[in-house]
Amino acid sequence: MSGQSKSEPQGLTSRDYAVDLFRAFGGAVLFAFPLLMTMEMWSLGFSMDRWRLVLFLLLNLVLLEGLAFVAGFRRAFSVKDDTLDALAAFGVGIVASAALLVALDLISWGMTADEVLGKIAVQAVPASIGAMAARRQLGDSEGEDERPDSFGGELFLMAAGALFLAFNVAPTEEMILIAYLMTPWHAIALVVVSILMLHAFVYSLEFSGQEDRPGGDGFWRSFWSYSLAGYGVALLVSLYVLWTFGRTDGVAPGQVAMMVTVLGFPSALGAAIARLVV
Amino acid sequence: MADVAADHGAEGESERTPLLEWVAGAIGAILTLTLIGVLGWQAWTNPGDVPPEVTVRLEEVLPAGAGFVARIAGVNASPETAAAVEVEGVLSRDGEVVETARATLDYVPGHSEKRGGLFFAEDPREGDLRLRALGYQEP
Repeated sequence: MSGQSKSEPQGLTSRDYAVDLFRAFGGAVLFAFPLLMTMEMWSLGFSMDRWRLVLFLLLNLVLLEGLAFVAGFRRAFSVKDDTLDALAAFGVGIVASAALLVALDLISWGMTADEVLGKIAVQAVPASIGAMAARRQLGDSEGEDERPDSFGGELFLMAAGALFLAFNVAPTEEMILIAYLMTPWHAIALVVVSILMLHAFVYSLEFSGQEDRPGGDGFWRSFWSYSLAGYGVALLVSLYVLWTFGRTDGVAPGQVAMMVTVLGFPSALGAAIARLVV
Repeated sequence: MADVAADHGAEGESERTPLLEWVAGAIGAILTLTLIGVLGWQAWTNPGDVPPEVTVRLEEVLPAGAGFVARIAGVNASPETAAAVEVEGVLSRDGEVVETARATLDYVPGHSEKRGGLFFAEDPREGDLRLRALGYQEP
């Protein structure tokens, strides 16, 4: 069903792996550069709460492991291979962000180890997601032979997509500024727009099997199971990212709700197009 | 692929929504309704165009280098967010001003607080330290 691909485990040579590694670097640079050139990301490296940073990196590892499982480029069906893929992607992410940070003179001699490591660690997250995604996106037409879809897998992909897009904009000051400028009425409208947009994507991209369902059942089922569930995922991811970056500290719940709504918009977009991106 | 087979094969199977989908959808619905509820409550209780009310609270005084730092928190009692809030601490002893320190807080969101610090050469614990917000900008 998944077709014979030349990258089946038995056919994998060191050369294939090297090619994949280069692709991974390409993906890492592609996914990481917008954040590398975002001012707030530089200061986050040393200002972020260390426990939150550690938790963030650990969750990133879990995310990579999951992505390796859902879309393992080597058709790696074992936990060992998935873990190797995840670690390799993380490694590529770290090396790529360190190299780019040096090239842009954002880390240099005279900075404390704390600051340098912090900067690399924060940037390594989007870079490693890019490394993982690139193997699929830039690789040979392997989009067909993904794992069989399960609902849990779809939810996971949505979370990954939401995290990636949310992470891309969450560090910027604009996110909280927009939240402060909006009235609650604007925010409610944005919630509705986010859900409708998410549903439009879900419906038009046709998450596997949805179009086969008879009658009107398909619409409401996909609305409930994918759009609403996906928006829930997007909201949770937004809240988590805001908390990670310390945006919620000392802020009243009402204002946090506004921020979550604002960040929920890119998150929902990320959840919707997760299939295409990660 | 198992999904596809089930869809085409067993007609009855596709009618039943798996439990996980119900649960995930329900969680999403609850989160969404909660969010809309909170936002709606804010919209309902929004008093309209009111100014921010920022007061400054002293958290603690710690030695910092050769001097001291007074850690402060700007507390906004109004629902309106204040930006670029300038806060000032005036240290006086026996009615005479010894030292003045200033800081700017980027944002103090409505009903929230943001922390900062004021540096003093003299110990602010000895004497009278008066803290206040000088002004703000609308975001």
